[in-house]
Amino acid sequence: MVKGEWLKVKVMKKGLLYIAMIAVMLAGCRQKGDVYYDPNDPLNMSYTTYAGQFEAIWHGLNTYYVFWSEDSTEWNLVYKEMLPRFQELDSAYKNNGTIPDSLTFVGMYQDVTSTLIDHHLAMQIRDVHTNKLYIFKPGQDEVNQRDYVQGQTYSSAAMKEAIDGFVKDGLLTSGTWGKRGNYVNFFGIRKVDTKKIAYYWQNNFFMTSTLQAGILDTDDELAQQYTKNIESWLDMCLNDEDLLGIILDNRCNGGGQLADLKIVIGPFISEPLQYGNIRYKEGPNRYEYTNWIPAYADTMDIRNRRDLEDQNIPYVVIANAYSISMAEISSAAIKLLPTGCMIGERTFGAHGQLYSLSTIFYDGTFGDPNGKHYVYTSSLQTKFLDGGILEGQGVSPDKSILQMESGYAGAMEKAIDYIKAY
Amino acid sequence: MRGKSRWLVLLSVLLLGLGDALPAYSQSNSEIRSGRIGIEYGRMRHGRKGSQYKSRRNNIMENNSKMGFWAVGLLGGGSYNWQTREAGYMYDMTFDGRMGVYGGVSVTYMFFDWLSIRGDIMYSQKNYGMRRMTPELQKMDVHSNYTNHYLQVPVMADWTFGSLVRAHILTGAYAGAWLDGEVSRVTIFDKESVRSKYSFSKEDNRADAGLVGGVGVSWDPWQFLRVGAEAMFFYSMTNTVRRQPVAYDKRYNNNIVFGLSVRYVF
Repeated sequence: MVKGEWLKVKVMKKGLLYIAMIAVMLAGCRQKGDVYYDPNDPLNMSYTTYAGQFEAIWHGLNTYYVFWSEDSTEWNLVYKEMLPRFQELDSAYKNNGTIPDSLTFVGMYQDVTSTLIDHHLAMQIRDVHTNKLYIFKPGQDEVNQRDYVQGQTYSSAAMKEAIDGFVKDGLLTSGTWGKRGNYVNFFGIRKVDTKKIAYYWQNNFFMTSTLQAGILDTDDELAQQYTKNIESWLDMCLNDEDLLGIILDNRCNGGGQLADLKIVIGPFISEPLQYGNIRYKEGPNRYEYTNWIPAYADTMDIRNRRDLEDQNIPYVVIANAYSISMAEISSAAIKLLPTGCMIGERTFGAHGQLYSLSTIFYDGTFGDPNGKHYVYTSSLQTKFLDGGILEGQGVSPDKSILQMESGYAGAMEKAIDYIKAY
Repeated sequence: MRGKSRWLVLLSVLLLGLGDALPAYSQSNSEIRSGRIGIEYGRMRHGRKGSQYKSRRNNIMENNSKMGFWAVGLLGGGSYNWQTREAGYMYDMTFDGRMGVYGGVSVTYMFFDWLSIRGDIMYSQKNYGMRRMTPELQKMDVHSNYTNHYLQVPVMADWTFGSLVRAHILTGAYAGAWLDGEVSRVTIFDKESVRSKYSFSKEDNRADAGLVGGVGVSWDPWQFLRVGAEAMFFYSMTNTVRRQPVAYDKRYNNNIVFGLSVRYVF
């Protein structure tokens, strides 16, 4: 072989060999990722230490919490700061058999969750040694700290008492109570000269299932009346020639079926009404979201749809700080109707929708309700057309009237005055 | 060969640990610039039959033996990308490779007829898909097809052999950036695919770098023109997810591009 050819072959062989070696070495630098943490894997719920329990909850929320894109919580910092504190609890138990008192234990988990914005978030945690149950609701804690909420009573019982007062004081002309299990509702009428205002209150949204089940074959008159109240309110809203206005009272309503939008909005729209957008996590990383998906209130499949705008009929929704979830979403949707108006207080701030099947989403509720921890959290983010993502803040009313200033009756009076003047 | 170029050659050779090749470059600058050495190589390779070649072939031979010359050209073709990632507990998720396109400009500096250094500025799509396999979701065809746009700059040693049709082995490294992305997705709430722009988050690592290797063939129809076909494999060494202190996820792109090139040889 001539010198030049020999040299070329030698250099090429050697060069390629070196490069191949370097490439193989560098290729090995690709690292494997941490094992994905499955929050619902029984192995991840079989811890025996406080630190193990904290890690299970931290990792669970790291993967399944849907609001990371909106949340300012420094979650990695929470891990760094809180893990040693839980390890100290383990050391104290190991060395002295010390069980943390409720104040310490609750306080530590409040430190973990206090800045998370998901107002559906509720945690059920058992002491790993004593099995004592603790329940945390960080969202509720935040709402109770609001300046317009402090010192006020928000409950179904308080609302029931207030409605009885409306009838007694003439704010409502008549009305009937219904009760089915834990669900309570009230259908009332306020006469204004020859005209009528249709009033409806319920403590939860359970209308779709109720109407699907029909009037129950039972001797319980209140249970039968529960269904009749929904039917009567709907019938009046749709068919009464003398209808002056509609009031849906969402105060102290804990939320419920999203499908009920079809009942409270559907009869008054001819096309689906987009009230916002939703998205969920399609992967285990914190920011791995789907695109925004339009969320609609569907039309109700009826012939005698009522055009409130055409007939100049106002639709007022009343809400307060304990209008939660579906009570807020329906309020926000009613605000979008041409004759819609929201009166009352800024709502609770829990708009993330919940689904029981966490295997469909890479977010939402995890843990075992009968086990050592169970974390109830939203599956979807909701972004309203009017206001954007209001999780943790709540939907603001068109006309504000605070309960602490005028009681339950104040917003009711304002709603009736608004309808009269419309 | 100009002074700077000579130092570049020396540096490259030293870096590759090929110090024993140095005597080959002790020829005079004028000899190298005139191409005489290259012509000698060509003659040696073809048993001094160069004079019998037709003029066109002579052009090719002359081109092949060029040293210290530049070539500038365009590249383009298809790309295929898949991700290396841990499926973990996502038992119902499958990750699919997806086709895309690539294109760019290429600059080659030929040190010798058998070794060039090549740098490209290249747009390449690094696409992949995710598909849910849970029976109820499979019926709904829940999936996300990601189209990711990357700009990358590979720098490669081009090892060349052959005469009429020349073969190339490319070895090097690249750096680049994840410019943009779109997702065509069917969620559990959709009946039809929805295309949307990808929203970058602080979790995304948009810097990209890694190794590149490839093979190709080229042919010079004229002395000034070189056409070729090539395939390159971009092996990303950077995670598309930013480093996390805990629960760190690793996702690497593997990108094959294959297409045609055309170069003007100066």
